[in-house]
Amino acid sequence: MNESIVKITNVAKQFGGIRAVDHLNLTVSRGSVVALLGPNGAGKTTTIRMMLDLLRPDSGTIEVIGMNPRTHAKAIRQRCGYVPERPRMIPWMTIRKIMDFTAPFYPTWDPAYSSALLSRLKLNENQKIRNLSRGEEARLALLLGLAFKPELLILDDATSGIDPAARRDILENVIQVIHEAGTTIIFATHLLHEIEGLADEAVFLIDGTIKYAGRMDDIKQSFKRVIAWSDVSLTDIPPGATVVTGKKTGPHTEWMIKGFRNEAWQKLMSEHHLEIQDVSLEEIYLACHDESAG
Amino acid sequence: MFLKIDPRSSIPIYSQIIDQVKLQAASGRLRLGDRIPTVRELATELRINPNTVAKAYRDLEREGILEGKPGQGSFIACKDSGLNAETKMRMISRAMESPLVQAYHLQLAQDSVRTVFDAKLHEIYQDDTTQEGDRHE
Repeated sequence: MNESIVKITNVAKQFGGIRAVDHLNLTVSRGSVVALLGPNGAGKTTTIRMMLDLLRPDSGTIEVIGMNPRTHAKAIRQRCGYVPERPRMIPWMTIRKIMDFTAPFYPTWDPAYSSALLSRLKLNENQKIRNLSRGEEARLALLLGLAFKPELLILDDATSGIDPAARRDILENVIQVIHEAGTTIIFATHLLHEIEGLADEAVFLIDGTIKYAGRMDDIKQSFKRVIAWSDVSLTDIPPGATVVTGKKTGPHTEWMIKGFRNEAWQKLMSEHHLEIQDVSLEEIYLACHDESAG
Repeated sequence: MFLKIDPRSSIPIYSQIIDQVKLQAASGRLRLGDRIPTVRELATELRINPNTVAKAYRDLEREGILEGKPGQGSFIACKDSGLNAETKMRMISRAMESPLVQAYHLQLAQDSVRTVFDAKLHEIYQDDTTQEGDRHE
């Protein structure tokens, strides 16, 4: 679990003077499920594309499965499943044809497994790409990303803009792959509730740099909404805690706190009758977002 | 589904699984020999990481709450966890600390806390009058 499968060190990438990725450091442990979160333009896709040598970094180093994408792009792509948001596939091909067409690129392509995936993902091999719905396209992209039993599966917004049933099929298949093969997953998404129970770790990317990263269990402990019903100012908050955002609505004031620890807050809680609430990943995301915007 | 998992709760999903299986076994909703969902079934149904489910099941097996039968699944065993009385008491004492501290800060009188405690005790133990160490043997 501690062996790293991806190691990004001090990587920067600019597009025409705009910093898409700004000295990013990121390590992904083998066998983990990592949620890569952030607004559009935060650098998620740029980072992923650099891992596969679809883009080249201006500076810094990247290692994927112990290899440098610049010198070992083919070897990396043969072992990484990549499911982009809008997969480009040749419209006149049937599903069977694109499978036969894709298979030779991957030494580990498993024909029996790819047929099993067809039925698991509820796809008809005789259908033409041009007639596929958005949901079917996404499921096919997942099939092509899984049929060679990759060590690392990268989903870049693969479930956005598709119907709930197709999303369910994709998630359930991702869960099965984690279960069967212990595949490492990098899941870039905006649908935070989808990966809330699935991810081991979450990485919040904003303006090309990591705003916050941690294990899900730690994140859930650390972030709390604190509500005060009377006039309280949080001037002397316990050490280790920081106020991410705060707002006053009507009679009460609420803060998003990072670094919350139950023991440290007990006294303050009883003195001011503070209410402490758990927060969802989405609420944490929004707080981190607002903090950097404000 | 037989477990209610709240992914946004600050209680780790792993602990939620452990606590709920234990609670349901203790309250009789799950009975000796009942088959519980497989790791894959539960993970798929609840959209949670199968590694988390597997780890919770493993630890429940180690505690003797579950028994895994290869190829068949996991069953409620509730055999003695093998922990000695002293360890069990220490575990319970530690677990009680947090609700009692909370009650103290809510300025609840000791008698009120006892009333709640007795009601909960009755709810879970029901008319089980077996002596310590006799349960499930």
